[in-house]
This record gives sequence, structure tokens and C-alpha cells, in this order.
Amino acid sequence: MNTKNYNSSHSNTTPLLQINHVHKSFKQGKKQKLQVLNDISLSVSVGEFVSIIGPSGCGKSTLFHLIGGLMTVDEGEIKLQGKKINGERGHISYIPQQSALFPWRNILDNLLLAQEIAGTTGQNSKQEALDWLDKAGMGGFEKAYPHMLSGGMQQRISFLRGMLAPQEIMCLDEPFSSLDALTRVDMQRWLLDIWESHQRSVLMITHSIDEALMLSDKIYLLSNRPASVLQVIDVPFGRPRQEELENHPLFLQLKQEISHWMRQEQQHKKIK
Amino acid sequence: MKASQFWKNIWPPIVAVLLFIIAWELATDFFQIEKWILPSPTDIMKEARTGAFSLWQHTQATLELMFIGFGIGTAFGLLVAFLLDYVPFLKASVYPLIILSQNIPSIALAPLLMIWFGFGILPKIIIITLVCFFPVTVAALDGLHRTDPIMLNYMKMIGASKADIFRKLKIPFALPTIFSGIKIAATYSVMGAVVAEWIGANKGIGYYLLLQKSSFRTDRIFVGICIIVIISLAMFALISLLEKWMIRYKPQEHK
Repeated sequence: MNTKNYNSSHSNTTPLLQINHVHKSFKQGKKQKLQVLNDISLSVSVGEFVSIIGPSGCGKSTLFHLIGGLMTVDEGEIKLQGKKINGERGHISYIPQQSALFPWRNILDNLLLAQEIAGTTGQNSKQEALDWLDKAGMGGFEKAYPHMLSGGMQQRISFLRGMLAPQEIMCLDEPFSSLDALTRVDMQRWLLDIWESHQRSVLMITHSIDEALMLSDKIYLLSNRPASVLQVIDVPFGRPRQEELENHPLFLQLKQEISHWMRQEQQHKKIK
Repeated sequence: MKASQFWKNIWPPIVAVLLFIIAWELATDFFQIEKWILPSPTDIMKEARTGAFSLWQHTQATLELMFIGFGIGTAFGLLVAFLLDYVPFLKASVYPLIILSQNIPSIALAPLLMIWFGFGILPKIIIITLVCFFPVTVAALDGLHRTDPIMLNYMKMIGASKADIFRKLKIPFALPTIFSGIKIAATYSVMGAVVAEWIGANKGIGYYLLLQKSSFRTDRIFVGICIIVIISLAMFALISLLEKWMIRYKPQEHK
């Protein structure tokens, strides 16, 4: 395992979000129980970018629903800044898989939605949203409606909406998976730039190993259902990161290791 | 582009109607059909012109009745739909009954309402309300129920309250569906008003029709029917305009 020492940009390790020994199962039929999460523990520090990789259907979305307070855990606790938030809503900023922009709101009003819901809309909210739009290279689109934008642009707006939300922690649920490969790479680059200049605390679910290595400070590898944490990888690259990083020997080595673990896990599933 | 598209869509039915009217005119002439059985379009036009003043008074009375009934019926329908959607238990218990209740023809209730509420405006408004509220309620409930699950999940994840979800997501999402229900209610309301006048009134198009029936003035009956059709179309157009104004974000359909 690589240790934190390599990590040049992250001396700050105050835990922001902590998930401690969380178990969750669902009722299936009358007597059977389907165990989904088995003793999951993870933590996100302030200003840290953390990714979760796992086989599809392993219960990653359940984990997010627990953090979002849509469900309650069977066992364990979820803490935000040391305070228990099991089953409480409104503590996270959320960027869903599909942009989920409201078609009847123009871009500006969509950007302000998360603040509206959190009840933190202030006098400067509008200006702040417009500034962000500019910074993200989409100035002048504030009056447009979502259907006028491409999928990639919609996802950017969705991300900005999450950035503008007042909550400390941002949860990204496979934010690029609905985009085509080219747009996806473009979006990763864009996200990296934006994130590196305004570090927020991020917890991201993804399927892509490249994506996770490129963006994150820490990666959790999850097992098949019932999901448990297989490995924790501290990504040893400093910031800002360049695209050339993809050819770095250590990057390739890590990528191989992770793929190897993932493959093992997948085969495991088949044997079962 | 848009205007030419509009004309492209509208001229075929207009030509069809014109051809039909010409054929009607020629047929009444050619077969020498008695005026009290089937008057020709020109006869009807002539009658409309001579009776214009009293016709306008009858139309006004019907319009007034229709607008009041339509307004109350739509408001009531929306209220019921919002309430049922907001309280799932209410929906589970009341919605099937509402559907069942539609087996009772509202028109058959008219005599009953007359006995209970007399010959004033109240029973008439109740009839129109009954006719209007159902399509609005069903459409609104359907629209609210079909709220996009992805958007709904998003709202829940960021901690939106039930009221926020309702106000900021469900209602705007259901608006196009609600409008299709209101359009149906609008055309029903004209019919409701005419029927309400049949069962006891001293003015209005419904009353006028009854009067002409008893004196076999077929031409005047046709005039009455024409007015009803015009009111229906106007109502439909009015609601469509309102819809266009309220739902501006929609992408052009032919794209």
C-alpha cells in the first residue's frame, strides 16, 4: 500500500464525513434478507477527493442513499463533522448520474435550485452563479433552457449547481457515465481544473479506474454484494495534475493493480 | 417558417369544411328539401343575422354560466388532485370511488339537483362543476404521479421537503398533463352549461334550443348548434394560448 507521505497537497486530514461500520440489508420476500452493505467504513477529509470503485450492482447507490438520509442504516453510524447524521437529509450536495436539470427552469434558475432548497439564497447568489458560469466557460448561457444544451454541458451545469450548494461535502454518483467517451475525457479535464482551484470535499462513485486515479486523493475498492471495503489506495500524485500523468509508470502500475483486484472480484462472483 | 407551417396544417380541413357546406347548399336546392327538415346554410345564416340581438343575450347568459362552472370545476378538480397526491392514504381510498362515480351520468343527476336546489343558478353550476372536475382531477393526478424519478431522487438527496418537492418539482412537471385535462374540461363546460339550461332556465342557448324545438324552427336550432361549436372552439383556443404562455420552455414539437 502506498502511504499518505507521497501526497504532497494534502496535509489536512480533519475528517469531514465518516462512515463507521455500516451494515444494510433489504427484505426480500417474506423471510429472506438481502445483505447489501457489510461493515463499510470510509472517511473523507476536508478538501479531499475520494472515489469509490466497485463492481456494478454492489450497493454503491445504497451507500449514497444512506448518506443522503433517504434510508437508515441497520448498524453503524454516519458522521458529518463529528455529528451523527444517520437518516437525516439535507447535509450533502449531490451530483446525480443524469443531470436532473428542471426543463422549465432556465440555466440560472437551475443553478440556484440547490440553494433555494437549502434556504440559503442570498443577495449575491445570482451574481455568484453568473461568475461560476463564466469561470466554467459557459458565460452567456444563463437564460438558455436545458434542452438547448448538449449532454456534456448539462452535466457541467449539474456540477456547478452542486458546487453552488452550501453543503460542505459533494457526492458525485457516476457523474460521467451517461456521456460518450470523448465528452467524458473532456469533462474529467474540466472537473479537475475546477476542483483543483476550488477544492471542495468530494465523494465520487465511479466505474472507471482512470477517472478515479486521475481525480482522487484516495480510492476505496468495494467487493461484490454484500459490499465491503477490499482495499484503500492513497493516490500518490501531487496537484495540479496534468493529462501526461496517465503515462506515468506509477499511474500504470496502480491501474494494473486495481484492474487485477477488480478482475479477481468479478471472477469470484461468477464462481459463486 | 412557423406561419407557413401553420397554414400548411390548417388549409386542408378548412377546404374540407367549405366543400361540405357547398355540397349541403346544393343538395337542399337540388332535392328540394323542406326547410323545417333541413335548412340550407344560407337560410341558417339569414336567421342568425335577423335574430342576432336576442341570440347575443342568450349567448351571454350561457357564457356566464359556463365560465363560473368551469372556474369552480377546474379549481375544485385541481384541489382534489393535489390533496389526493399529497396524502397517499386519501388517494388509495378515494380515487377508486371517484372513478366509479363516473358511471353516474352527471346529466341524470340534473333532475335531482333541481329538486334539492330549485331553479336558480346553483344547481346549474353544480352540474357544470361535476362535468368539469373529473377530467381535471384525473389528468392532474396522472401528471403528478408520473414525476420524473431521477429529478425526484435528486430533490430527495439534497434534502428537499415534501412541500418543496410538490411546489418546485411535481406541479411544474405535471403542468402539461394538467392542461390537457383542462382543455377537455373547457369543452365539457359548454355542453354542461347547455344541458343545465335545458332543465330549467329562462335564458341561454340551451333554453333557446328547447324553445325552437317546440316550434319546429330547425334553422334556429342549427344557429344554436353553431354558436355552441364556436364557443367550444374559442374555449379550446383560449386554454391553448394560456398553456403556451405558461409552458414556454418546451422545445418545438416538429424538431
